[in-house]
Amino acid sequence: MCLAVPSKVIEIKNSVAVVDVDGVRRDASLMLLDDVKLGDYVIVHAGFAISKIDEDAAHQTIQDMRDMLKFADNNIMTLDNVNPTVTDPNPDANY
Amino acid sequence: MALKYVSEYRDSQLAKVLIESIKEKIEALHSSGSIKAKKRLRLMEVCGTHTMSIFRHGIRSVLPHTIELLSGPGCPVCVTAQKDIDAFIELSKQDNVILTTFGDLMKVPGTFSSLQKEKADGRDIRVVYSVFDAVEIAAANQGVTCNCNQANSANKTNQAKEVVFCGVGFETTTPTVAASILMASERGIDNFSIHSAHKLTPPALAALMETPATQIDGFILPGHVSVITGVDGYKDVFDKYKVPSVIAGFEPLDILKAILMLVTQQISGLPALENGYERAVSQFGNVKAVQIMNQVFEPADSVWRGIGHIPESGMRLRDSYKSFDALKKFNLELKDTPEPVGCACGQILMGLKTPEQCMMYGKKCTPAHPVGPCMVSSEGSCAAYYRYKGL
Ligand code: SF4
Repeated sequence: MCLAVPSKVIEIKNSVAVVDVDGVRRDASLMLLDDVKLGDYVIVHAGFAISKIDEDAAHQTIQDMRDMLKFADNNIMTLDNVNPTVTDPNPDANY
Repeated sequence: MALKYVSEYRDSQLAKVLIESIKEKIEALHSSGSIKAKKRLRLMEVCGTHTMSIFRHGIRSVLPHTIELLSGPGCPVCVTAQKDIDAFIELSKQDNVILTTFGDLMKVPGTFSSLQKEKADGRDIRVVYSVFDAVEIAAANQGVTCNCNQANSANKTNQAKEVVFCGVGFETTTPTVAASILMASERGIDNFSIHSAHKLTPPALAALMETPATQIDGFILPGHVSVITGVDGYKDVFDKYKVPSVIAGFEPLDILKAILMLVTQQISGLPALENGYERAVSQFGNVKAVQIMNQVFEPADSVWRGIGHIPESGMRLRDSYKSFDALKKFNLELKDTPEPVGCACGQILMGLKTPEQCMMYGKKCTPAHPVGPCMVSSEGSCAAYYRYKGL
């Protein structure tokens, strides 16, 4: 019932948005959510947009995990006496 | 195409780090003696979508065996009492009714029948994706008198049909049903009504904590219920029971992160109510949705399958919207009916049993011939076990 995947708002008409998930489009009512703009990512539940994805928070969560990864890598490498300079190949690769 | 805000949360390298970190912390807990040698850490997810995600991504298999993940009362269809299922079936039998429902309810066995059987017997029962669709079906079946002068259609009357919607679901769904009632009210659509078996999550958490046998060490709180309630929605329950609680999203990294946060709380010995799904859940929740829900509905006592009566855990229509109450409209009453004998759904929903501990699992009860709702809904524990464990 609950679509856990965020949908992108590509059209808004009279309180109804057209949202897109990987090329599949459907309508989502905006009756339960204010301030939705084109290009926003929203969570849609049973035909209603119920939440906007906070993009800063989304990036921060992933960044925090990458920092953990760096820390873990650093530890392993130090233990192995390998050059501990670890560079993140491209932190924004997925965005 | 990589899905935005999805593929990042399935990164296997990051998952490995989280898993390692969970393992380290669990070992630390055991060696410090804070968890006794044989005791397992019992964490309960209270959302059917989490249950599915945990199975789909094989999360149980990568965790230390001392962490036990329990599926709680988070599948809307599974917690619906037998008497409400019977009421939906009864409503479908009324004259001139189109019954509309989410698909999951179709196969749930009532005491004597199911919606699927009734449909096969010719009742007009339609599966809808959104309650929105149900309102549109009502609008299209209001019955209009046409006075147009064209020869063949003069004074034709389309007979009105009553459209009834089966209201099941938690805080995520109830506002959508409330919005549809407001919409029907504004548009003068008076042939639309609902039977509300809606439930509230925090009172169920309290009921679980009041049952000592459940021995819950932490809650993985439902992401999309929390979108509506906000972190604050759980404050009262948390303040009372002080059980570690983390709101989680639905991707593998979200769930692993929530588990890591719960284990970290165990180590610190300081239970907390934390938000691990910041990209979608705020402190206050979706204020507009809550306001619309509370405009139309009010809390009322409710019966949960297998758990029983929980005070103020359901949502009923307020007096000003009683004209949308299907039972009233058709003069029907809820009758207490017993649950299927031998079905352990109730104990499973409370984390007291696993599906395999039910005598009927995989024998008398399968997805093709379900005995209880936990085997029907794709979000139900028994159905998830059956599908992913291959028995
Ligand atoms: S296996 Fe079937 S009978 Fe047993 S608890 Fe699950 S739904 Fe009920």
